[in-house]
Amino acid sequence: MMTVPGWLMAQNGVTITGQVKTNTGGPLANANVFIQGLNLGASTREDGHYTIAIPAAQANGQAATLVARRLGYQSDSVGITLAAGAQTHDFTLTVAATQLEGVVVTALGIERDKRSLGVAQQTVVPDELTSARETNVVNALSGKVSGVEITNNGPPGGSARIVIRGDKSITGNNQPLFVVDGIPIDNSAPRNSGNGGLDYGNAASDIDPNDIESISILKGANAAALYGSRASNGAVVVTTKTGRRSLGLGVNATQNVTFETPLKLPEFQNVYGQGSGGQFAYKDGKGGGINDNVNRSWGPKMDGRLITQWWSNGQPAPWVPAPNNVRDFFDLGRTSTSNVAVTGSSDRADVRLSVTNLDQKSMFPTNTIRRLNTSLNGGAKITPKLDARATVGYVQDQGRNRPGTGYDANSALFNIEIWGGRQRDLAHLKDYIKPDGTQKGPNNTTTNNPYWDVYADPNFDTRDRFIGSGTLTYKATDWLTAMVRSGTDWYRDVREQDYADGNIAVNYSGGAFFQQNNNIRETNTDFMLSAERHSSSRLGISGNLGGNIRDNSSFSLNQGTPHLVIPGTYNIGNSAVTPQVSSSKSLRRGNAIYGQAQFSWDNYAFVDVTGRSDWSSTLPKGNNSYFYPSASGSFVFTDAFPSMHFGKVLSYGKLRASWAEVGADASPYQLDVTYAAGTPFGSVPRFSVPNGLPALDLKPERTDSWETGTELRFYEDRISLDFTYYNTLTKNQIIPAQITPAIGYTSATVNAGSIKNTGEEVMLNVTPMRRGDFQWDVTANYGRNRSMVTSLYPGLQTVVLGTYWGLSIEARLDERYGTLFGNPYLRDTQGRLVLKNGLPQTDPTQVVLGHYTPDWIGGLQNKFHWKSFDFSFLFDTKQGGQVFSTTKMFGEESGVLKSSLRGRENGQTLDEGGGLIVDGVNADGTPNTTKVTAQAYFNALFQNHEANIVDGSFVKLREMKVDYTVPRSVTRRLNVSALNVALVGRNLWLHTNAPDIDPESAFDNSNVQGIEFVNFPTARSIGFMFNVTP
Amino acid sequence: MKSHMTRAAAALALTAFAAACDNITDINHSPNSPTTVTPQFLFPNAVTNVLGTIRGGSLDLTLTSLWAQQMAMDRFTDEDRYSIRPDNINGYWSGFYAGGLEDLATILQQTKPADAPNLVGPALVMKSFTFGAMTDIWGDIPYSEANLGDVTKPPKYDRQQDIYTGIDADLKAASNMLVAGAKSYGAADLIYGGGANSWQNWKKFANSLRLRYAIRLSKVDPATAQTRAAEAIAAGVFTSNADNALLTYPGDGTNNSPIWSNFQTRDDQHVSKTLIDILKSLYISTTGADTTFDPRLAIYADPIISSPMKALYVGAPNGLQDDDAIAIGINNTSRLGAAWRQPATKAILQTYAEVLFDQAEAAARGWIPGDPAQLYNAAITASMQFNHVPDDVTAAYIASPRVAYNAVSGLDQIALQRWIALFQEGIEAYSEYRRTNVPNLQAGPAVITNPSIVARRLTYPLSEQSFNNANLQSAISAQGGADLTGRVWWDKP
Repeated sequence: MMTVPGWLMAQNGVTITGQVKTNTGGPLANANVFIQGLNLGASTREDGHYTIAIPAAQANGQAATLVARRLGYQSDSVGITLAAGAQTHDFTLTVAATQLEGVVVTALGIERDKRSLGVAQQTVVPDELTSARETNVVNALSGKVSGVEITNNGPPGGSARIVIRGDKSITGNNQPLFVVDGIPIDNSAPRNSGNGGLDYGNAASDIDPNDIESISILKGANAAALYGSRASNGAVVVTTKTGRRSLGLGVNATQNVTFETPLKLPEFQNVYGQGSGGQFAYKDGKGGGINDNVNRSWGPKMDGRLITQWWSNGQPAPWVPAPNNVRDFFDLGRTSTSNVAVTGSSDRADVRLSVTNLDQKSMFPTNTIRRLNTSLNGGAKITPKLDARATVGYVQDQGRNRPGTGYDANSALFNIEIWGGRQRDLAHLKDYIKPDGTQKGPNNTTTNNPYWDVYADPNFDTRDRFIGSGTLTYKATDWLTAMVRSGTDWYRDVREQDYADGNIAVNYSGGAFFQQNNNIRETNTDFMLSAERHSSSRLGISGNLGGNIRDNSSFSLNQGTPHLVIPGTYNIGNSAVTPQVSSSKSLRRGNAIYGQAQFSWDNYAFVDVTGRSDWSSTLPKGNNSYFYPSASGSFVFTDAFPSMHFGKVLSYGKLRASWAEVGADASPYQLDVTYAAGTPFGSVPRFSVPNGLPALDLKPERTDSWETGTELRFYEDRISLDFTYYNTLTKNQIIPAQITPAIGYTSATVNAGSIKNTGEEVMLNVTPMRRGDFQWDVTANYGRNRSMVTSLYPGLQTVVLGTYWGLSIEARLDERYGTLFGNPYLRDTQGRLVLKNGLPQTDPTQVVLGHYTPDWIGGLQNKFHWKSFDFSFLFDTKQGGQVFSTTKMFGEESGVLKSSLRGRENGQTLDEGGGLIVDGVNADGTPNTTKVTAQAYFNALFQNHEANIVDGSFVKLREMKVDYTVPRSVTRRLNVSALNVALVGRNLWLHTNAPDIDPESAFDNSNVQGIEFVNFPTARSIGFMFNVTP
Repeated sequence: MKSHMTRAAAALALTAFAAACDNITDINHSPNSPTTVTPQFLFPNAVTNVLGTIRGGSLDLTLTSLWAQQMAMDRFTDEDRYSIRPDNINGYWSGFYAGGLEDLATILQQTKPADAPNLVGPALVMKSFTFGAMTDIWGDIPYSEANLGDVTKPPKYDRQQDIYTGIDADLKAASNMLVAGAKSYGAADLIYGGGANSWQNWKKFANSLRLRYAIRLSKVDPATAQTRAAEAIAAGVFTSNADNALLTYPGDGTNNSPIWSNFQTRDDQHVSKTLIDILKSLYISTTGADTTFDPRLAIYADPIISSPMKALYVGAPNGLQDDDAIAIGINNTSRLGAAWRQPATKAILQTYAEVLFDQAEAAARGWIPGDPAQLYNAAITASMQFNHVPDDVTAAYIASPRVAYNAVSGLDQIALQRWIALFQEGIEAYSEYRRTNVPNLQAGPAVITNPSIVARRLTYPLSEQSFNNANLQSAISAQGGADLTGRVWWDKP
């Protein structure tokens, strides 16, 4: 029992002390114990004890309710009397897998009791985010929230794409709005250019998981109607930690280290080496030998025979396979995160300072990512009625040598996996440069030595980001509060890619470099008046009225040159040709006024109404405002009709329904025809008509959605079920519709198109066992979304989102969003393959071959608590959806994959006994009897999309964690307050029908998904974590 | 008191708000690009854009020069076997319509002939040049309704006959409107330099193009061909190599000949066996051991590396299977002649030689007065001079029995020499082959056409199926089909 310091004992006041424990026996730190209605409380310390001091002025013997709660646990309360003197109350809180009740954060930071929400909302507790040490907070949400689909890109620092309840916008942004402490922040990710490029990550990954107090996922237009246009896809509302946790000074430190290896690599064949038609001999890599400029593996059998090779100085050397050359190309990755947080608080002020250093050495040789997060959060009670809070955060990201992605001439991954022969061993390849600085490699015509891509072509990037806000809250009366908040998200990116002189794949004679500079800033100022009044004891009325002024500006300046004068000096002054320079500026502004009113009856029935009106700078003058309302209701029927409890069966039951409309404006500068400057031709300037035809009378987009659902809890909350059905229609979409170029443009901006998304979400929690020190929780979530493009512009069949290899990813009329439209096999009316000279043909008429959007997604998590141990594992699945595999297409066409051994089990050429007879018919209908070589067969399948589309379904063991809270007896001896160790793993196991690839990895995080592009392999990471409070 | 203050503050905020809302659209004008431009900025872009698509790494090297069998693929032989990547066909189509043609259409919409005849004239010439090439490759295409910029009206496909009539009319109008003293494009005239007399060059170019598209109709409509050809010649065509319509690349590293750029990193196209064998067959003299071939052989092709002692030229066969092409060995066939792949190598729109061959043919058919033999010799000389062959060698060449004009086989001789002279003008060589069947090209062993013949046309882009399908299907049925073996209107058997 702790002695209470004298200065805390108020004269004739009340002192309440006690301890909060968890139902599995351990003390519960950081739980909030408070007197309902009095705004007085305290947090429990590391040993679970708390102390609340109530001044005599507020304690006159009245009855009150003392509540103990903490995210991740069911809250508990007890009735007390505020009589002068000391009293003790202990609490035991039960672990709850999800936030079933209590206060949750909703739009605009408004805190609401979950029971009063008429919409689906899910909170993710901080442990869930930091448990397996995922460095990108978006990825950390994968599998944990129903209806939220996360696609994780492979490379470290790579972007993650998050879509809630399906894609609603045809070409616009389909990702939710990210809000941190009431300030919307930028989550853009630069789109990969052309067929390749570098993945610089999505901006929201700068949020430090260590700073997060809670994340509230608002899933639909309904839940986010107060945020405006950008929240029509939902909102991810992040609340960061403050210093209010502990009285006095608190320190906490965390260190974790994980190691990464590739989860899945393609299966390669190790029978035939480089060449064509079974022939190969190296002379100069330019065709001077026999097929020595051919980057395929259709050459001689690697049985040790002597063949001149690129490194053997003209001498024949043993021709043997290098079976592990791809696996050994990757290093063991290592990620280390260190965090120190210092908090302090008194009864009038609190502050929290946190510093996190992330140091990641990736599986790709020489690639590193570093991130430094510093955040300061301070609040003070300036007068009893005036609160102030300020947050300042600075993030610095530094990336080096990010791996190239996609079909890029400079992508080392492509060069090591696809181009080449299976005899190419790393030991010789590592010798990539001659003493005179020129490249040394197996191919001197079109392809670099992959180690040249790694070492001679470095890239660097730095981002400096500042996110800050200031808030003043003034409690004018006990029912009226006014708030003013202003905040900004500002960052600056500098990226550079350098190319040494001697690049074989691209003509960068002299060397080349390209640099991009971006400046992005968003500033928001909000004011809000909140009122809460009970007109009678049963009817409650509360409301908010507010406004927002938002300002976005961005500026980018790019410079570069494909030819330097003096190699090695990467400066634009050293350019041998006219430098390539481009710049662009963008400004937009928006003003909004919004209001919300809530009516509650007897705390079991609630009705919410909101309305918002926006004025946007991007719509036509005089027609640039739009208004949209929403309404929702929630009914806790078990409170209204206690008989519905059915004894002890149904402990809680709620029905909810809501409807909302959200409007959306366009991107800036859509309304004018603008001419594009070209590089001068010699000294003659050039301009051209752009390829996009603007719309002169643009209207705002509208999303209409309604949802209904229920929350049910059975057997004293041992089983809880949350079910939602939603129906969303997004219409009047502002789309750059592709049109026939014969009109003079390749696209036109139109208001057209509607997409319907309907679906169900289920969240089920079961506690199958709870006995003494042991508890077992199971959480399952399931989401099924059906999308349909219900209308487009008249005469328009489809909007093409992107095309690669002749395969289009489209929003096609009467199809699910994300259609794969491409060329199938040529077949006759009976469905048999029609062959020519024994080879399959590609039908020039394109058809729908699949969709990338999944049928359903889900997650299953098991958690076991026993005394001080926690063990949990999460399975994550996406079922349905197809992916076009570039690895398959190029890997088979170049003969490196194991699957390309088909037809050459006995030899490469027909003379050697190789070949296969394809099952099909000739043009005249007779069965095929012509034998063809494997090389010819797989060459014929190149750009046959049907042949290369694979099933995108998968099941992954996404996370596994064993966590141990070191007991007091040990920590006392170590002289620390608390110590926690954990063993963690992510992406541990994958099951999929897709051959050779992880179908989840994507090319970038735009709407053009469904194409696997020889992506960076997913990392399987395993490691450990220490957390100590000195 | 405090609640009054709060209410007052709220009211103030709301009014400030409302005032701020009205003018925010004023910032919505892009600071990054101009919203109006004058023709002299659009014209050079149109010229370079059109030529970049027709010549250079695009249509010439990857399609038309291959199908004309003047170049051949030494690997990745798909295009040589008539299997063109759909992405590429879509790209050519949109590259024309949404690229150079849109720039030209904008000039023509913004400028009236009466106000600026020397701006409109060249624009009409370039438009006709482009559409001529396009219809020769694709047959019926959007023409009269193209480039109108109205999303609600996807254009119909015009019959090739109507397109040819339209081209002839436009060129005639251009020739008539060009006049001395009117404002010209100045330095923005990338073809003739925009000097005081450039209008005369454009006039000759307009008429020379008229002649080209008149001769093309020799099989399908000889009467019209004769009328238009005679008119064009009478109105004044090229009179020397100085009149050639060429685009000169600065070769300064930023704007290089696309041919040169292509061969910096790739080596996929070598000179075709068909062309080299023909050039060899037209030798001037031989002593058994030593043969003096058509002097253009050494200029069109580089000798293969493996014989430095005596220059040896070997062509690559067209239309092979990929591994068969690779098996030949990349150093065993001749690359494109060094003279033709320099950074400043010019792109050809039309040469004096072609004009003379057209006149020779017109004379041989009796459409115009004139001596076909003399015109034939002058045409060969023009081609030789263009390739910097000394005149005495040319004289010997013309005198040799394999080349000397013979009235019986005159039309075939003219056609063969013209095909040779059209080197690096892929579309023209391919169209003239189709019209005259000279030389008698044979399809390669691995072509995808069914039956296995030389392709007669290119298929329509798949994108038209998505965006203009109704008009596309009408066009296909009007032409009786539009696959690789279908014939365009003027291509009568």
